[in-house]
Amino acid sequence: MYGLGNWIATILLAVVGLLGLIISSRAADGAMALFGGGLMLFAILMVFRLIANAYSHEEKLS
Amino acid sequence: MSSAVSAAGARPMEPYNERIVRLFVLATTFWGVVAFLVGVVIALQLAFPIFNLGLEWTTFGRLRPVHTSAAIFAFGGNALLGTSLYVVQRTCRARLWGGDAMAEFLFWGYQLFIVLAASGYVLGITAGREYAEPEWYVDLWLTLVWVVYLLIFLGTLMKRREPHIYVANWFYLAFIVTVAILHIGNNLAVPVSLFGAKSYSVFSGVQDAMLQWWYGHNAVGFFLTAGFLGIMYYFVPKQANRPVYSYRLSIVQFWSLIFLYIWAGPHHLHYTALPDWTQTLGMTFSIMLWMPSWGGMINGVMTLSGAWDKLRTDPVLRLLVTSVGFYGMSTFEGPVMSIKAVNSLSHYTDWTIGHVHSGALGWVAFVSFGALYYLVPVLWQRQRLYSLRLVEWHFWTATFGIVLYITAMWISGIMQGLMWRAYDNLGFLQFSFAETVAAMHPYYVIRLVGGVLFLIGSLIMVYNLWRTIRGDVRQETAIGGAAPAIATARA
Repeated sequence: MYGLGNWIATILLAVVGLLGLIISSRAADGAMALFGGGLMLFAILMVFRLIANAYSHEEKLS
Repeated sequence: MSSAVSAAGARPMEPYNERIVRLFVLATTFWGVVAFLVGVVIALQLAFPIFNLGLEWTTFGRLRPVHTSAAIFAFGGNALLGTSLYVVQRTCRARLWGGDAMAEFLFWGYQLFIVLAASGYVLGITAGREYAEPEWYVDLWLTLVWVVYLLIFLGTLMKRREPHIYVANWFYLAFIVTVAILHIGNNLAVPVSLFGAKSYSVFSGVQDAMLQWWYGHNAVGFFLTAGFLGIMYYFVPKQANRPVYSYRLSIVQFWSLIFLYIWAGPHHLHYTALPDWTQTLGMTFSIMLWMPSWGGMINGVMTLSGAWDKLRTDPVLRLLVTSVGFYGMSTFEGPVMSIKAVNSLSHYTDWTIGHVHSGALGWVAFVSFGALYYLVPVLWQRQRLYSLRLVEWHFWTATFGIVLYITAMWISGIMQGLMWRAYDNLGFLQFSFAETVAAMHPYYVIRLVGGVLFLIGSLIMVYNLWRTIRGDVRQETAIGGAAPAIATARA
């Protein structure tokens, strides 16, 4: 469950990050550019956090 | 204890996800201080306008929604999300549904919403709807995060190992479902461009106003009342170590509260273009709300039956019970203010601000502080809080702050209303608007002092919680001659 949940979350976060990039690149104003950039950054940081959590989980099990 | 074992003979359970609750506890504490600090800044601006600094980003108009959103959605929201995830796991004896990744997404996604909303306000990006100021793209993001929240909560309820769903979860679920409906309904808007921030509501005129206050009042009813009643129904009995006074009354309160609250919104639009019958309907339902509100208040206070002596010795319980007292007081005052004759005096005045803060500081913040003081030793597995004396200092500093705040606003508001409606014997208005503003100045300064005291109280709490998390225990004489409560015994 831990691994599968992480995989699903990572794929969905990749979609969110990509959407953020598109929004940022097509933004009509500064607020949308900031929002798109924020989404992309959020997705990247979340994926790194999930990776870190998965390693901590493995360490606890071993 | 971070892990749980089911009743004797049953198989051991998965440990609860307490890491996510710890994150929400830290976020609640952080955003609480931010909300109170910005509140003090804008109180300072109202008393001394020079502190607007002449910059567009720091003016009252832009900082006021930062304060209200930080208090309601950042401080209150994180308290609600954190406690609900704690309570649902404990009362269902089940780990959160959806795995750790989903819970992490909920936490960080909600923080992103807060940052996007607050930065937007400062930059002047607003939908112009009170308590729903974020523009359409932030609303969409919150909708996604909220659906994840609903799935986690519902999923955990569905996989519960307890046959009964404890009443606190009913209140939490009502809060989650209704806030979702209110948020979507009130924020239906057409963006000017798919890649632009500006949007326009699909409603207009009086329908738009009605929808806004259907949302606005039910944000009070379901965000700041139903959700926090969930906190009350779990943490007051736990801290008092007593069962809920009347479980039947809690169920009656639940159904009557959610049936009545949803109709009360029009009382915000008395003497406007809204049809008169709708205004009267809103007033009538607001008055009927006395019953469930006081039912809950009586249930919370009477839970101390047989344990009243603990109020003398346990300042955390004192915070929780005082919060219930403030809940009773503000839910008495609200229906009074919804009566059209009273509203003709109180509306648009500082009386409303006093009323809101007796609920927000006395009820919402105090019950959240009580829950934080309960949770931190349990979640970090500490023997007890660092210092109960500091909790007592927090309690009295904050209580004195609230009293200064709300009495100043009551006097200022009623005076303001009376000055606005005063005529001389020739039929002319007796006071100019500027004269009413000048008359309120001393009360604005008293309000500022009250806010500073409340902020100091919260900083005392931050220090106490930080030392508790570090594992320190302050050697101190027991309050009222009793031994300090040990957290692990109740975990």
